[in-house]
Amino acid sequence: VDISNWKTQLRKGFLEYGLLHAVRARRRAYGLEIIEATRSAGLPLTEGTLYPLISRLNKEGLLKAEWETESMSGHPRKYYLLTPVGHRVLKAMDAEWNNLLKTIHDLRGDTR
Amino acid sequence: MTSENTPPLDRRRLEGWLRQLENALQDVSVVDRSDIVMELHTHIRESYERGDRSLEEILSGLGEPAHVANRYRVDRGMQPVDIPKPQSRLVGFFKWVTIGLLGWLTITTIFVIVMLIFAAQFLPLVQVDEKAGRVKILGGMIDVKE
Repeated sequence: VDISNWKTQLRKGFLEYGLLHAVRARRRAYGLEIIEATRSAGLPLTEGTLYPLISRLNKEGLLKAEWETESMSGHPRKYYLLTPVGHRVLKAMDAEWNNLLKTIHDLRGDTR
Repeated sequence: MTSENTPPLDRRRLEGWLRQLENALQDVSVVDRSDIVMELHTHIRESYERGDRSLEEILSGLGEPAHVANRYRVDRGMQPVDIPKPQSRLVGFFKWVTIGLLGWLTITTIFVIVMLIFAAQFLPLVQVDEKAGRVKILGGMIDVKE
């Protein structure tokens, strides 16, 4: 049974949620760092998806960016961190996530 | 940090890719555009310096510049730009060759007809053989079956 279409649908909102957590957990993070963090956590996220997505979250005001030149390699890195709005949104997302978990537990008939 | 065994980066390939991306983002504001290009420049270089992927692998992970630009566009609520498929170049080539050939054929045919009419008016060199159903032009140099 192929559930790849269902997985794609499910991932759409989940990516944003996971990405915001990856940033918050590090206080601030740059693109490559986020890709590596999500990958090792089992969420395959390609660079072609991450950069436009993070750029949109920045535009929407959930994240803010600061440029900083890395002293070792000399490359200017764009670090992202959550804005106050981003923190509020993530809190609301957490609440929704917990609701969904509770719902699926109930529907599955899990004993709690 | 570049590890010891990382071959030198193909700068021309990298710069070419970034230039294509920049061109594909012409309708995005200058500030955003240079931000995007600089961010991806750093990403590619730092990924390369990790030493576990070739430049081509990194670039194909990002996708074609036009596709990357479209993802930024869509995420900004802008219309994506139509990207011509790679084979359409060849199709386009044959399309123009066909159009060119047909045009050339039409012009040549018209030219020949006009010349024949012209020749028939001024030179009594066109002979019509009703029985055989043949038209002989210029003393039989051109023989047309009716």
